[in-house]
Amino acid sequence: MDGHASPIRVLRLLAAACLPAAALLIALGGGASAADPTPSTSAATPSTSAAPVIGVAPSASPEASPIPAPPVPTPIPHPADGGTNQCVECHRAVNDRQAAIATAWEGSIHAKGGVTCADCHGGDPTSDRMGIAMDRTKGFVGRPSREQTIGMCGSCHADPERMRSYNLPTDQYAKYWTSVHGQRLAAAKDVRVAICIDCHGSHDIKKASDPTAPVFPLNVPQLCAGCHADADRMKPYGIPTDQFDIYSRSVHGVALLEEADTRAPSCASCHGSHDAKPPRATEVVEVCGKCHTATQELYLQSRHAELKDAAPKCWTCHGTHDVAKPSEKLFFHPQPPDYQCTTCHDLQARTLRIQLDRFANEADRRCDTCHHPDSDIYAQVEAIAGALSEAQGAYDAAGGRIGEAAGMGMIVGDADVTLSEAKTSLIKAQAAVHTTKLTVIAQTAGDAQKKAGDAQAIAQARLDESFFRREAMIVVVAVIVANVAALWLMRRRLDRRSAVEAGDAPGTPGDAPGTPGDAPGGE
Amino acid sequence: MGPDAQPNAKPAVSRRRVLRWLLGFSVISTAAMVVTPMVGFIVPPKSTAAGSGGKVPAGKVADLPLGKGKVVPMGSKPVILVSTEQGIVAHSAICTHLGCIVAFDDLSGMIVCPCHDGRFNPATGAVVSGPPPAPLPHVTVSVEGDDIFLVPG
Ligand code: FES
Repeated sequence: MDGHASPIRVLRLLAAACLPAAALLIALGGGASAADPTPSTSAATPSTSAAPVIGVAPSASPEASPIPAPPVPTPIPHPADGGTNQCVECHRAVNDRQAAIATAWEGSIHAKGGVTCADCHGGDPTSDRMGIAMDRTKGFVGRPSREQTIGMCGSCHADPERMRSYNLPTDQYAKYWTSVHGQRLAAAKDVRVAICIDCHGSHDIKKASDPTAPVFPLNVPQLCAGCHADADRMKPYGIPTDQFDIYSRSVHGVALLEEADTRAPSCASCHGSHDAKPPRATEVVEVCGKCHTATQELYLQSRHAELKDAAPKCWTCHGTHDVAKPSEKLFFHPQPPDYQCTTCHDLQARTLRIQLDRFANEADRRCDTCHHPDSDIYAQVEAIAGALSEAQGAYDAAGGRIGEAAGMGMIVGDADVTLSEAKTSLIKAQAAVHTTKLTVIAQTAGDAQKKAGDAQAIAQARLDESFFRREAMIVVVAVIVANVAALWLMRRRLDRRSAVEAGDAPGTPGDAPGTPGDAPGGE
Repeated sequence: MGPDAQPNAKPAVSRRRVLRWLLGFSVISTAAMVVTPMVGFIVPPKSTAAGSGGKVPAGKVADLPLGKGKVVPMGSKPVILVSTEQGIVAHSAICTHLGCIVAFDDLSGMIVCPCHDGRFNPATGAVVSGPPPAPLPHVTVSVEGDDIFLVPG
C-alpha cells in the first residue's frame, strides 16, 4: 500500500481536484447566462470589442437555466410614526441637499400613500434625537446597498395584500431577477446594472402614468439611453451604444418621440421593463405580433413560419431598432448580392439556419439575400413583386387621371370611392406578402388593379365628357365670333355706303330721307 | 349741300351714333357671355365637393337592423352607418391608419379595418385596438321617417 495510492484515495484526490474546477465553470456559466444573450457580456470577462452595428439581431442561442430570485425580504420593521415623520423635520434643517430630498419625498407618490423614510431606511421616525432615531442596533438601515434596495422595494411591491388597494402588479420583483440586469447582479454581483431606483427614482417616485415620470412611455427611450448610450458605461459589456440614435430615426422612434404617440413601442415594449432582455429569435414573432396582430396572422400562414427555428422572422426583413417604412426595395438588391451558402445553411448539419449577422446590415434585408436567382422561389418573388408593382402602377395612374378630371372641374366622387376600394385591396395585397403565397398576393393585387382600372375608366369618361363640352363650346364660340364679324362687316359696308351717299350731290334720289337705302332697319 | 339741308344732316348723325352704341353694347355683352363660362371652365373651383351641400340619401332604416352596419358612399367619401341602441350613427369609413375602407364585423359587432386589423367602437368611432392613430371622424345623420340622410360637414 505504501507508495501506491489506493483506488479510493485516487478517487478522493480526483474529486478534490474537480470540485474547484466545476465551481469555476458554474460561476463563469452563470456570468454568461443566456438570459443575457448578447455576445461577450460576461461580467467576469468583459469584452473589449464594442464595435456598434446597425440593428442588433435577436439571439438564437439556447438559454441556460437562470439563477433563481432570492426570497422576498420582509419589510424593514420600525415603530409606527403615528402620522408624524420626525425624520423630515430634522433632515430639512441639515443642509440644502437634505432639504431637497425631503421636498422630493413630500411630492412623491409614496408620501401620498403613507410610505415614509423609515419604511426604506429603518429607524425610529417618532424621535427627534439622532441617537434614537438612527440607532443601527434598533434596525436603522441608513442608505441601503444597491442589492438591498431591490429587496426593500420588493418587500412591499411583491406583497399582493399591500398592493391590492393600488391595483399594482406584484410580479416585478420576480421578473427583475429574470432580467439581464437581475441575472448579472445575481451571477456576477455586478452592482452597476440597473436597479429599481435607476428607472423610478428614489425619493421623488412618481406614478408610471405621470407624464413627468421617467418611466412614462414617452420618456422610456431616453431613460434607457441614459445608460445604454453611454459608451464608457457599456464598455465592459461590449454591447453597442447607438441603439437610441438608431431607434429615434426608426418609424417607431419617430412615432413615439416626435409624434408623441404613446401606442408606439419604446424599448420596454419589446425588451420588457422589469424583465428586460433582448427578445430571443424564437420570441420575435410574438413580440412584434403584440401590436402587429394582423401581420402576425398572415406570417403564420407562410412557408417561412413553417420553417420554425430556421425561419426568417420579422427582424430578418424589417430590422430591430432601425425598423423603417417597408417598401418594394425589400424584394431585391439593386445588384446581385454576394451569395454565401452559410447565410442560410448550416453546412455541417445540412440544415437551414439563418446567419443573424448578415441581416444586421439593412442593405441585406432582401428576399434575394437567401433566394438565389436560379431558384424557383426567386421567380416566385419576382412574380409577387411584379403583381404588387402593377397594382401600385394602376393605382397611381388612376389617381392621376382622377386628379386631371377634378382639375377640369368634373365631379369625380364615384371614381374617388372606387379608388379608395382599390387602395384597400392594394394595402391588403402588400400585407399579404407576409403569407409568401403568390396566389393569395396576386389575387388581391389583381383585385386592386381591377378596381384602380374601374376608377380610371370613370375618370376617363369624365375627362372625355369635359373634352366634348370644350369642343362643342369652341364650335359655339366660333359661330358667335362669325356672327359678330358678319355684323361688323355689315356695319362697315353701311357706313361706307352712307359716306358715299353723303358725298353725292344733295337732291339725288338715294339721299332723300325715307329712301330704302337709308332706312334705319338697313343700318 | 344747300343751307336748307342742315336740319336734315343732324338727325342722320345722331341715328348712327345710337346704332353704334347698340352694336358696341351687343358685342361687349356677347363677349362677356362667352368669356364668363369659358373662365369658369378653364379655372374650375378647387374642390368639386365644395358647394355640393345638402343631404345625401343613405338608404332606408328598415334595411339597417339594430346592431348592424354598412358602408355607403357620400359624395367622394365612403361612410359607415351603424344602427346602435342610441340610434343610427355614421363615421367616415376611411381608416385613420393608412386609408383602407373599414367594414362592420358582424361577429365582433365592431368596425374593423381589413388591412391591419384596426378596430373601432361602432357607436363612437374611437380606436379600440390596432394601429389606427385616431378615431373615425363623425358624420352627421338625419333620419326622416324611414329615410336615412347623411349631412356632409
Ligand atoms: S389601414 Fe386600417 S389598420 Fe392599417
